[in-house]
Amino acid sequence: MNNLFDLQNKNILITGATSNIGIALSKLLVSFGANLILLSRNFEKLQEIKKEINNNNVNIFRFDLSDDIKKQLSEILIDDRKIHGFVHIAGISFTKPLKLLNYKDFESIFKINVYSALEIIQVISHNKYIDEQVGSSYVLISSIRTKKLENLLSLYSMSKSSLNTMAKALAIELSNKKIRVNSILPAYIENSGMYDNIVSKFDEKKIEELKTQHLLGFLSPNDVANSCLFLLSNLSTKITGTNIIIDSGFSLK
Amino acid sequence: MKKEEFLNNVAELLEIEIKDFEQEIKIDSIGTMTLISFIDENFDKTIKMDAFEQVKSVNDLIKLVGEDLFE
Repeated sequence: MNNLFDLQNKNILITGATSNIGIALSKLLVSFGANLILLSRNFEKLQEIKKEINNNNVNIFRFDLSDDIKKQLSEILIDDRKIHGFVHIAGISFTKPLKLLNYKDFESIFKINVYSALEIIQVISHNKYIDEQVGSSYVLISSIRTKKLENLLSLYSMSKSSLNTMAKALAIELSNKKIRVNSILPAYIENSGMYDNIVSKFDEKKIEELKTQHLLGFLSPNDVANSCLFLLSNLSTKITGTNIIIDSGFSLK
Repeated sequence: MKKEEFLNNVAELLEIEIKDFEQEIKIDSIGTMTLISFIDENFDKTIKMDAFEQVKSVNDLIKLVGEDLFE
């Protein structure tokens, strides 16, 4: 049987691994034979996930994206293991009007959402981690809020836009190493931290409105995971520097 | 936070002049979201948008937040 999504012996690094998207992605990738390196601040939750997936190919590490990233990575990447894939799911968001923004907000949201990914890529794109034959695929989880903007989400949208541009810039810079870089722009994902966070402030009417604008319904964590799988697999070998929208038609009208 | 300080903050955020706690104030949707954010950050309390329909003055706002959260 032709298995187009075969990830046997592929090592994939994931930030935000304890998020619902992270969990869905981990389960999916393991089912196609991948070896996972899961990063999160919540080590207890990582242990639960590892136990649930019940597979030796899941390696978990406590990791804080606001701390020294190079130091933490040097403690994880200790053998000759190549890195075939990277998915940056971790990110913070908050609704805040222009009037109330300060530099600390800017620094924290850009550090976690943007700079941490850049720094991780700096490390894992080094020749020693790249399998010359097959290269690598990096996926940055951005947001449809970089195309269809919402009020009071300025810093969040700005940070996610940086990921869209990062994908394009690094796709050029890393292409000679056969490293592909893309971003995914999802719309609202039911059963996600972000959804709960933002929607808790909206009234019924606004939520209904949002729901109607998602022509095919709200997304699920699996929808994002499936798109990541596509980008990590050989089905997307010539896809790089793109921003892939999976928004249930949300940005159409 | 003291009530006077709160009133001044609200006036600043809504960019209007507020002379007293009973003065009728009009809050549009942006103003509502701004106040929700401000209250969230300063009182650690999440208030939903529709709760603001009943708010006509700063005193109404103070009741919404909870009198006990003020100095």
